[in-house]
Amino acid sequence: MAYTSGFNPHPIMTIAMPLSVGVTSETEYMKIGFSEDYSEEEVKERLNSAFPKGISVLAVKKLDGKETDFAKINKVVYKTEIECNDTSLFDDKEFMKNNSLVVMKKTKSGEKESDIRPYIYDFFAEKIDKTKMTVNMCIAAGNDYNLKGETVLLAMEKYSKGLKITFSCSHRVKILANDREIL
Amino acid sequence: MAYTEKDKILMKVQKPTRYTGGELNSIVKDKNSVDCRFGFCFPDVYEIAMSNLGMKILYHTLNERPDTYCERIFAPWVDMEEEMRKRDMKLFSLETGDDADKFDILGFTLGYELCYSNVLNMLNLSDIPLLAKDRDESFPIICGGGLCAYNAEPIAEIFDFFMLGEGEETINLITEEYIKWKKSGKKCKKDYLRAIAKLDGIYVPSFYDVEYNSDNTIKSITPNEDCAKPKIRKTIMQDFDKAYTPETLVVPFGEVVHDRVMLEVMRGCIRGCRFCEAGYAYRPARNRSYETLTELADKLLGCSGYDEISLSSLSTSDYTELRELTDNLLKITEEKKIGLSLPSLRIDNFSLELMDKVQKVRKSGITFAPEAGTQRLRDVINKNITEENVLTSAKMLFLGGWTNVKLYFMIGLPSETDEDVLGIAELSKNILGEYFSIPKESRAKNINITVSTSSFIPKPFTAFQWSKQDTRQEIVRKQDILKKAINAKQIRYIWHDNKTSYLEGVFARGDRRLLPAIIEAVKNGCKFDSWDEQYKFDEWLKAFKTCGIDPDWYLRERAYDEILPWEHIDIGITKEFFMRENEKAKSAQTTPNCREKCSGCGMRAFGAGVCCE
Repeated sequence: MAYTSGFNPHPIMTIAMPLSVGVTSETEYMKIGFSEDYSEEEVKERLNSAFPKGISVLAVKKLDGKETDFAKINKVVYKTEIECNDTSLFDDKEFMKNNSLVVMKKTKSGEKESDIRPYIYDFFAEKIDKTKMTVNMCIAAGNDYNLKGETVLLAMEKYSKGLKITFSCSHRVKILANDREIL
Repeated sequence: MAYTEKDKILMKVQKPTRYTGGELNSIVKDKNSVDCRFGFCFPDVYEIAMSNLGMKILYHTLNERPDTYCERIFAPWVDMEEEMRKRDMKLFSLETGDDADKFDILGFTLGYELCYSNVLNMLNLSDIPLLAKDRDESFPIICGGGLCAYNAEPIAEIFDFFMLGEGEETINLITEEYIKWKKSGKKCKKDYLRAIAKLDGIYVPSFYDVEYNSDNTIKSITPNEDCAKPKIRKTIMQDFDKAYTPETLVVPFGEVVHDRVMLEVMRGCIRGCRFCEAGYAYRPARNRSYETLTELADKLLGCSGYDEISLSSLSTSDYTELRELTDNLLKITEEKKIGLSLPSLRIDNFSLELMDKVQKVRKSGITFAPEAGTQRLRDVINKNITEENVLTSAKMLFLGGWTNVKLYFMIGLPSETDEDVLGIAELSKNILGEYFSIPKESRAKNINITVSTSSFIPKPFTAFQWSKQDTRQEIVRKQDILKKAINAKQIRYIWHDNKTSYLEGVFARGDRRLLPAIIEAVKNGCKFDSWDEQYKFDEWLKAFKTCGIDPDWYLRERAYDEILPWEHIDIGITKEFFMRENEKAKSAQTTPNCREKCSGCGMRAFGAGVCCE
């Protein structure tokens, strides 16, 4: 592996949008710097033999320098399973008809109100039964505006009278850079 | 996807990865195809448990056995416990998530006295009756080990048995006997206990009756079963270099206290500090060869991906092959960009050169442990270092660019006077003086000295096992003297809370009569006593009062002819040796270390390590 220079050298390795604890995913990207030349196939095989159960490398692509810039990540697709008091209190089309969805959002400098509506690009709910539903959403992520799934759930409660979400669990489906899948 | 009740709780508590399991290198087995399911219980939170070397060794030792599945069971933090109790969830293991009461054997590590309340709380959370006599064959066998097991009398009646000494072999033997007993139909728990009581190092508390005198001292400790030995001797790994040691380690998801590869270079200590239970209890000092260690380091780093490795022992400077080992390790660490840390290097044979090689850039803090402020008192405790040693090494450090120095002392040591306490301030001032004696251009800026005092607690199996423990008032008075005496702005004084030391002292030399108070305190919410913000001192005092116990009584000075609560336990060192050491302490005479000259402590009978050099 290649290491950074300086006082405390560490491996050159970047993970795109590291997941929070408790969120599952089917799409993750990482960039690793190597000091020697390896074939894409060898990197894939060796990583897969070392990775713990549940994580496997699907594809490896050799890059030159700055190509495939994680800073260009702008959207993420989540599938979130929700348990609530009553799914009939929620309507995804009505929810998306709101011109603004103002909720408290955590930022580096504390909490402040933010209108998240412009940052929800796609949103639909599949109701499973009276208390369970699955929400599919494509929302803003990355350096320009980072929207968390939980913040969207807050808006769902705030803008749907009486809705109380008792449990949620998210799964990341896609990470998009410049609106396109990275690999 | 289906979510369990546990998954739902995990989203609500701090640090959920404390409870998920599934870490890299954690052991996955089919629980239905083994004969024995062993729950390795650590009575503290995940980050502490996962830093414990004993846990790591025994977890993998047991899992080497195809007939046994050893899983980890740790104390949930208070927020998790609250959620669990709300839902009637029982204590569970990290590997399979199964309830603790489904296991065959639950083995608790007793590393320090303040974990006792957590042991009880964990059993409570598992719906397992606390007292051994109330548990029939349908409950797991409850056993304990670790340093405190040498005198765990305050909670002895909870345990079916204790393993005394180093458990790598013993734990295999008791598991084999368990499997035999289980296959024969698990008829009578006593049959199993009788079978293992014959083994070395096994102490079955229910096989011993304790009688008391009218003055509350112990009248007798008598075996009540033929198989119960009058004295139970600890076990050791005879050939430590060849002893089993895991070549893999579990890598936690979240950060833990010792988040690195730990290399146990040596077991035991040659020094003979008179206050130190570990120093005596792990005798004789035994080395692991540097070749073995180099190979081990390579494997552990490779399988874990850790970028830091540290050498672990009671006194790494006394490891005879330190140069060869560090030369080898530096080759690995430089190539792989891995950090090497060297804790517990003594200042009297401190190697600045080594420190320099290891910490090429970062000048992190250095800790000295002179333990006492005056030469007289250092001689009393047999801490064989002089003020000159300390000052010389301090100067070397300052010249080498270090500016962050921590000094550890104890207050309340036997025979301590106010002059000795003031000596702590004096020594710290002299160290600061060394810094200022260096010309400005040759020393780094911003000197920072931290003086830290803990309170001395007389421990069983030490030369001071008969000593009086200072009262809380006396400790506070001495702390105040020191606060006033330390006035340089470059020196910061921090002191240890006297309330936890008080309880630790009561338990350390406690007997079986303390159990009702511990049960009462746990009932009233006492747990995590070693965590300042969780410690409920008033509840403890109330519990002692309710049970008619005077805790101060356990801190008094004891006579040589008094029967001590641990009289039936044999750690290999004779009582005569401890008496000799205590007498020498009274006249401030030192004892040479084991390598210089054998002082006849009794350990030679084990025929291992430094005793045979």
